[in-house]
Amino acid sequence: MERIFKLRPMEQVLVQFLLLAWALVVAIPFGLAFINSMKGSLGQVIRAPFSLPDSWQLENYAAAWEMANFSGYFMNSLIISVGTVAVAVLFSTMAAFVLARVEFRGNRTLFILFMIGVIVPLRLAMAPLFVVVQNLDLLNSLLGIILVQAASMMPVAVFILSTFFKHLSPEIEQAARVDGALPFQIYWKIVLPLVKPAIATVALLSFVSAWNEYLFPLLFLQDRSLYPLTLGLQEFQNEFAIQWHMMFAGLIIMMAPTLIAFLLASKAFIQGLTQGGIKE
Amino acid sequence: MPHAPSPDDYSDDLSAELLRSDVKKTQGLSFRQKEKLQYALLLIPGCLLYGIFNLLPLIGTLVLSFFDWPGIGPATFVGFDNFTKLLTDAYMSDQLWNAFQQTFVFFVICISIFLGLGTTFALLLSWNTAGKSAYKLLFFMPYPLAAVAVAFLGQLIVDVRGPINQLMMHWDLISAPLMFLGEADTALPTIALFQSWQKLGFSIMLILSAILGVRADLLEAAVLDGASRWQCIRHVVFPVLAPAFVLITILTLVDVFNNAEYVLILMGPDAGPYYSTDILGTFQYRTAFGTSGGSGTADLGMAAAIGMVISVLILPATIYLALRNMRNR
Repeated sequence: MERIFKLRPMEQVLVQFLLLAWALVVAIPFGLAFINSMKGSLGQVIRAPFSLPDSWQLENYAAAWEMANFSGYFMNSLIISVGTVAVAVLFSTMAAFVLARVEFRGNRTLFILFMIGVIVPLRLAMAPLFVVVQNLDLLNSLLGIILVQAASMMPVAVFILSTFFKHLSPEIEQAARVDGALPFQIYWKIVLPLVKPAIATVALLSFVSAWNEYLFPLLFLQDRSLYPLTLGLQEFQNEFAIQWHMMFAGLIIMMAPTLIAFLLASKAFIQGLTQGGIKE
Repeated sequence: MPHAPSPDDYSDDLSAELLRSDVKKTQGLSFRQKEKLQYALLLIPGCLLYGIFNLLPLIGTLVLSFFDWPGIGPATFVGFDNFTKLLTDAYMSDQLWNAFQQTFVFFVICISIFLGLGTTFALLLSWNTAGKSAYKLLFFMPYPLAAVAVAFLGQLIVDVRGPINQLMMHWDLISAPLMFLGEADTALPTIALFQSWQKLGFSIMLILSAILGVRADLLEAAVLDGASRWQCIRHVVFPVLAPAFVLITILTLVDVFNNAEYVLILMGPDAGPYYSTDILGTFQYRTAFGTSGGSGTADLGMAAAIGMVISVLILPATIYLALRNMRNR
């Protein structure tokens, strides 16, 4: 048994060589973005992309943050992501709780309707989705984006959560009912605390997908003042495509929050995103 | 001792009850009625949200695909005209076929990398490799990033004056810089490589967990029978990886066929140069909302028909996924 997993020193060297090669392929782009974002001029970037800046400076970041309005884009991304997480988590836990714990006529049909959303990606319905959003007067509003994003998360969220809810033992809940607890109380005080890990997964999935989403804001937002980072970065690229040092700084601003969150909670990210990816 | 209702007691017509119940009357309701009302109030918001912003557009795609509608003014029912035009009209069917072929190429590039490199690195990481957890962390790191960020980062790195060209010139591998994204031949593969670079970590994790899930007793038995490491991999580990391979293939297929973010970001709806990066997602986007120059007419009915065609193409895969998920539930 041990023999299979144990590597002899020569083998270890070979394995390390291969892994290191890919590690470099992954790491070098980040490294390049970082060192070049600190350079003072395009000339330095083009002349020697792999060398460290003559003098490290944060001016590019300040310029992007203030002049190019990254502060505004950042806030919009935050509002969209937090709003999406709140709506998606609240509505999906409520619905999944009833779907998984209560027998009623139409339960199975409703569940299958939710599964249609897993089967057919919402992007394929972009034309009618646009019409729906337009008719509800939600074009060009962050609320519209939040609702669409949250709705697109519902199928996966309901699926993940209802699996969890089904595995809870019904006894505590029944005891609470006997004591006269109503569904609101059972949901809020008894059931929710028991499915915290699933809620964390759903919240993580919703946040990452809302933060990274490009298509829905592109379809529904017209005002630059409402743009999230994804569209903002594109605007920035239109303006500063030639000024690579600025562009790299913009990229780092866009990537930093995700990378920091990932490094702080890598286990949750890897598990949650892998699980969410499988369910989609 | 209060009567403890069995689940059957409140099993019937929750939905009918809901419609009749009036919130104002809550005061006078019995425990059972209050219970039903509250269950309904818990269930309805999620159903409405999903129904309006997800299910309705999906149904709308089916309906709209039978209409001719530029987005404003009245829509005309045209029956199967959109589909006929899409499949037989020279201009439309050329674009469809071109987009389909290129989507397929995109898919093949991604899936080769995911299965080939994914299995290699997962195997290497399954041994007692030094620095295993650091490698796992690093390999997964690009996955949660926004496609916009990865696309622009890649664009700068493969630019004519960018680091890769400089490096290759420096080592005399090429005599003139390569225009990775500027040439019709290389643009699509380059974009597929960006996406593969970002998403390989996901496949590595999936294959790795399948390898680690191989039952220890099977391996032990193989070793006792005198199997070498390669024989163990070949005859014990690989057969168990088949489900993971199928899963990765299907997820990639669905992703590539419905998600055109990378091309849209880097090339816009015109999917240049000369439509060489056009995939089904950009074709649908361009049909629905016009080209980047604002020329070309929006044709929402036709876009819905394209959406239907893509749905049919990926339906076997997604239904397989859904059934698999339901079974594991």
